[in-house]
Amino acid sequence: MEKKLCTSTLLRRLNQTSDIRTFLSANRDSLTSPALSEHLIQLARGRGEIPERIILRAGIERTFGHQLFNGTRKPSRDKVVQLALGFGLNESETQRLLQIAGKSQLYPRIERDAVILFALYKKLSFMDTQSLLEELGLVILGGITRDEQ
Amino acid sequence: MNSEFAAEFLSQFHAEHYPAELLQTYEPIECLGRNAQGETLLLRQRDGETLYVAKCYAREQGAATADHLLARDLEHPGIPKFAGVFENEQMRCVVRKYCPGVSLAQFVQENTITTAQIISYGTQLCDILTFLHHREHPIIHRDLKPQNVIINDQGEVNLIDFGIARIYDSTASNDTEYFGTQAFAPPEQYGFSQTDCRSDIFSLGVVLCWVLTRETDPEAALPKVENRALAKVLRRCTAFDPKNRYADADEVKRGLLNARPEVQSRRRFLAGVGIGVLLTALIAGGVFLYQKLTYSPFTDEGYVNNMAADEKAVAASVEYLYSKHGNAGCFDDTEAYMTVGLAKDLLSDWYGFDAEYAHAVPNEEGAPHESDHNFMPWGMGDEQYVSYQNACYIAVKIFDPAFVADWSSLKDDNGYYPGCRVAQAFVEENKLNEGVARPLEITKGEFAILLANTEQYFSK
Repeated sequence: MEKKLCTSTLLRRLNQTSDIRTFLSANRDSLTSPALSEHLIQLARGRGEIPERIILRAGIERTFGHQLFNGTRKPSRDKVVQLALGFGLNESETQRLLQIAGKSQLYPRIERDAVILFALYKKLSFMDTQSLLEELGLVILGGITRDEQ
Repeated sequence: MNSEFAAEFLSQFHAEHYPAELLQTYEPIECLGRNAQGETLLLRQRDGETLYVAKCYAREQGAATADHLLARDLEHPGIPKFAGVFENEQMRCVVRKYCPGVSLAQFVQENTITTAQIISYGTQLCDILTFLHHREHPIIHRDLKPQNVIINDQGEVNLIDFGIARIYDSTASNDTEYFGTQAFAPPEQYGFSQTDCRSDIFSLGVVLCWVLTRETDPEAALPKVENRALAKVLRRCTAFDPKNRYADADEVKRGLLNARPEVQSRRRFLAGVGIGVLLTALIAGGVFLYQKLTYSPFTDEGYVNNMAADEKAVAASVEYLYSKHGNAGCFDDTEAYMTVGLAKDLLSDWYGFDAEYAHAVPNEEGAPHESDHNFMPWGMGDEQYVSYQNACYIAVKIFDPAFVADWSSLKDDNGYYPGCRVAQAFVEENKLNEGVARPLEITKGEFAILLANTEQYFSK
């Protein structure tokens, strides 16, 4: 697998390239996060839904949401959970999504994670999940941005 | 949503698991890792936004729970600050501040990393290890691996996870419990002997090998390390026998600093300059010596053509000589090379030396030498050409025999006759050679210049 490049290297290569298509194909691995974005696209197809609608239900800002689907941005753990809520995934599907995104899985001994598991189990909407977290005095989704990129 | 229902649902998950005091102070956010020894949790302060990390050990884990004892008073910018320890019957949780950044393992996967960066991370780790190892009771981390090295946006390094660190006990013979991550752990960590500071140095070496080559086996990694100074440092870090490793992380740091690309290129430059200067000196000296040592009137080497004597000086000199000694016609052909035979004739015909003495060759064989028996110190045949240096000797000796004869005992190791060089120096010092162009065999015209000038010099 070709190693991913840092932004400055990519920018230098971009400046040196004359054909954007060649650049994109040569640097595809560095530009995208293919595993997660492909998985998201597959999930959407499997449900016969378009990303726009899932992003809306996940409570993710529209542009950022599409960037997650095309792999140009990497989500934080909370954003992956929001996507799961947007898709209406069950627990095991959510754990799989977190794994593909390289995030730690939901751990039921942690109260906040347990609430999220509960929300998934009960098919709660994103907004309902947020209010439940708030009601229980827990950090709402999006409140932790430590691994946002 | 009925929150009471949710609360009831939740109660089955976390009751009594974590110490109550911990949950009052912090909200667990994420489980960053789990293994047989316990859990690592990401926490957020309840009355703030600061993040912390808790290492939670099951109480039955004996030695591993020494973490909080080790870390309580560790104050170093490269070590996460201790925040507290919380316990209940099942668990002991050691809380430290969260270090923002990514692990070296992830950083290397996602970025192209330069040698300078690697050396910077290595030296920062050395500083941390030096701090740990130089305490009154040295602390050995014992689990130095890319996953436990955190790099932040400023390129600063933090060493985390003192889960299996231990205080070095110089009286213990070997470690009874085997921890560590196999690929990065030194051989003694598997019970060969007790781990000491050099165990961490081994792991540091393997970590840097891995960052450079993605190999954790030093034998496989080191041949791939292009920076030879760096490879040398890493080889010593990862020696099988602790005795052959660096004894101190500070030494490793010095080695790493010397392996920095700019230091290496500066060294190469200075070495290059040094070698250049040396080579230039050697070449110049060599040429000089070559000229000195190989200069011989007896060979044809260095025979220089296309050199013209000063015609006016030649004409004036020939005229002077003819006027003093009579026109014998011997210098009519000034372009021809001067022969030894002609020189000998002039000694007897013009300057009154005994013909036998003038024509005699040395009795002894070998190197030229002076004697009362012969004017010419060398056994040259009459048909041979006279060199510039020999011409100087002849010219000076005609007017002051003692001047050159005094040097007769000073033949050098190569058998060259110092009298010739003394005569040459005398001629050149008094500019008696002006108009002579050839450095080796000279023409009759040039010989005339030397002879006429020397004669005029001595007749003043």
